[in-house]
Amino acid sequence: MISKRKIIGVFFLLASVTLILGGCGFKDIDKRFFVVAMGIDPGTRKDLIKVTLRLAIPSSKIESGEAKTELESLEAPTIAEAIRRIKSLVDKELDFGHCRVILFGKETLENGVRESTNWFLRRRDIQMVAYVGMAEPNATDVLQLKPQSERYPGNSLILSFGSEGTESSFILTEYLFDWTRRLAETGTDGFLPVVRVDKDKNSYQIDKVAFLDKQKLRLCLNATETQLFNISAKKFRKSIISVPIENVPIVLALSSVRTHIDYSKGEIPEITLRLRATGMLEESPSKFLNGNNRVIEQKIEKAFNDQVETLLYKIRDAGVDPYGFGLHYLSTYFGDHKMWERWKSAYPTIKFHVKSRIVIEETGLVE
Amino acid sequence: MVRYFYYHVIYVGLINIMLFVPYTLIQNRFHGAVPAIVISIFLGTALAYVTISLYLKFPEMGLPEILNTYLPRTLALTLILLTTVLWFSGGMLVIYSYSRTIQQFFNPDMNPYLFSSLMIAAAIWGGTRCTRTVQFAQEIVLFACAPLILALIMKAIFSKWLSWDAIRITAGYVKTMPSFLSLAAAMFVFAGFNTLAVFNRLVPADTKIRFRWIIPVFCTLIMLISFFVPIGFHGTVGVGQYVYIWSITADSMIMEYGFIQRVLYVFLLLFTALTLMFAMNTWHSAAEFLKSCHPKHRPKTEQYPVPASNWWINASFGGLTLLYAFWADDSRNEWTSHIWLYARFSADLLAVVVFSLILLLKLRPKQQNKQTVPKSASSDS
Repeated sequence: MISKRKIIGVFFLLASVTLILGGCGFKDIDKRFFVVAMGIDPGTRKDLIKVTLRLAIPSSKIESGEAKTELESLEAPTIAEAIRRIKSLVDKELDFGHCRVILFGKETLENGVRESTNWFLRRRDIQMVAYVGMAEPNATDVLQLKPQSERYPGNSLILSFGSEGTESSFILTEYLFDWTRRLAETGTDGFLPVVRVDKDKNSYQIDKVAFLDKQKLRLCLNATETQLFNISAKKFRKSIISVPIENVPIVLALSSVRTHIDYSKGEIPEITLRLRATGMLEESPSKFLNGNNRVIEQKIEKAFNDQVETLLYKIRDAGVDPYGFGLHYLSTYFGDHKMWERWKSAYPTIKFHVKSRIVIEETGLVE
Repeated sequence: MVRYFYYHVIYVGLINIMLFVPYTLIQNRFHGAVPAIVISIFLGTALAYVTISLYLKFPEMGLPEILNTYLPRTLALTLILLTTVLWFSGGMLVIYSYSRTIQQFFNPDMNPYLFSSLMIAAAIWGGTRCTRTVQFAQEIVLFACAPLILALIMKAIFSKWLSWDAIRITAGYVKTMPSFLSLAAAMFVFAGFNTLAVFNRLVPADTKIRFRWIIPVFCTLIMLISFFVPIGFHGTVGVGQYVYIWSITADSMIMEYGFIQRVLYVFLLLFTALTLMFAMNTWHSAAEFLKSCHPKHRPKTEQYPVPASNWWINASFGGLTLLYAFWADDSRNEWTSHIWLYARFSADLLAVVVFSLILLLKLRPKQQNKQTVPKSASSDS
């Protein structure tokens, strides 16, 4: 039997729990404004930063095109100050727990990036798995767009990255933790996907990549080069290799990519990038080159090697290393500080060789 | 039953994250953490094997009974009291670190003492239970946690964002001079065998603790994961800037299914359970040590209802923890944890020395009446 004293004891315990829980600072969900995306731009004056927040307006309707968002932007000397000022413009408490996209305006990155990243690291409620990108021409313009296909506020941009929604070989995905890692790491540099507004003003256009060194923006690739980078650096599978052979366009859809990096011994190491890609012919005349796959493969290999080599030299000449050649070099030889110094002086004149092996697994449903 | 022993080994290994072990090692990653880890793997395994064998020589006796029986009263009392402080403060540090983490990542607007009070209340209740209940509870909680632990480890190791280059570079610093702090920190991962100090009472005579290879295998794995995975996720340089290193690392993994995509919450949930287990065990053990200082105390492994002294002792542990929470902040807690790690490591070594001496000097002449020793254990002193 439970004694009377015990029942009273439990009652008092529960009563005291309700008493303390009142002070736990929890706000109801309909009293919060969820920030779904955030943009950082330079302000009108030199010492100001323009912060743009895309806020989700809670709605009972979940239908494409019905998602409503509100845009608030403000200029202040720092991000933290801007956020506090924005709080005075809205009626609900700002919640960054669902902020999945962070966009830096192109101009911000041209000026220098370190200071603006710091705030995101210090805040505990910013996810380390938030997507980061570069907005062109600026973050406010990109965040202003409200695509018709959005079911939840802001989910169009979220689905573009990662492998949740579309998986495009032109879209690179960069998470906040990887971005901060690359900003600090020796031997590798950061990259950001470039987000623009499509011409029809109804969707985002993400088909370029921007490379930065530890300070600022150094290089932007065009769409074709971006895909090459995605294949050779990120081993992205769902991409295509397209090369004209004897003025006939041949397109190979990849199904697997493997890469391996070799360094030659010597004072200035030479880098050999070995790449093995298998795939299926998606565009090719039937019975092309007498249906001899090996010949087609070799021709693709040769053209592809040239393309990647040109890209590698272009990236090297911009003074960035998004592939992480330096990091991999240090790890291959368990390098220390001295080796890193040597690598830094060697990198601007380093030589690349690309050796690819293309395998046509199948030719599709026709010969 | 041997399996209960290995539960202790596993969760004590896992709780290292709340005792600044990965943080300490990572701060020293270029200055002696890697060789310290290598040394700790050998030293930890050796210590574990030796200590277990020594405890098995004293069947059904906990640490206080052994000391009380074979050592002069003052010496035994001093050692037991020191052990009590050591064990209690282990639980205290973990509860404080955990409530700090929760406050940071769950709800920073919350009153900081509210959550520690809740944890303390749970730990007091757990600590007052009898030894047998504590032992069973550990099994149940660890089984409940196992899928979360596995999910987290799999997620971490097989993530394609994990940079093996960074891990290799850090591992290359194996030729540096090992630092003592790193060694003390790394040794904690192997500390699970110490729980025999109380739970040896439940190990009957002539038991063999088999499968001892579990200790080196599991503890090495836990240690490598807790040191190298954060480095793989945040790079050789970037990893140094985070205080809550494992919370941030868990936050760097993503689940693409369900409405919670942050692995951080899985991590926090897991460590709620592990913290409670650890606090319950350490406070229970500390209370048992303290009680055995009384000359007339006879240890009982199964008791219901539990004696009032259990409640008083554990409640004062709770009070002390609250006082610590008032005093401590992040840097003070780090400092205290470091001292605790040093002290714990020294205590491990001391225990081996003391037990071996007892065995050499006292037990040999009494070889014939070995059976009567345990029974007279506490009444003799």
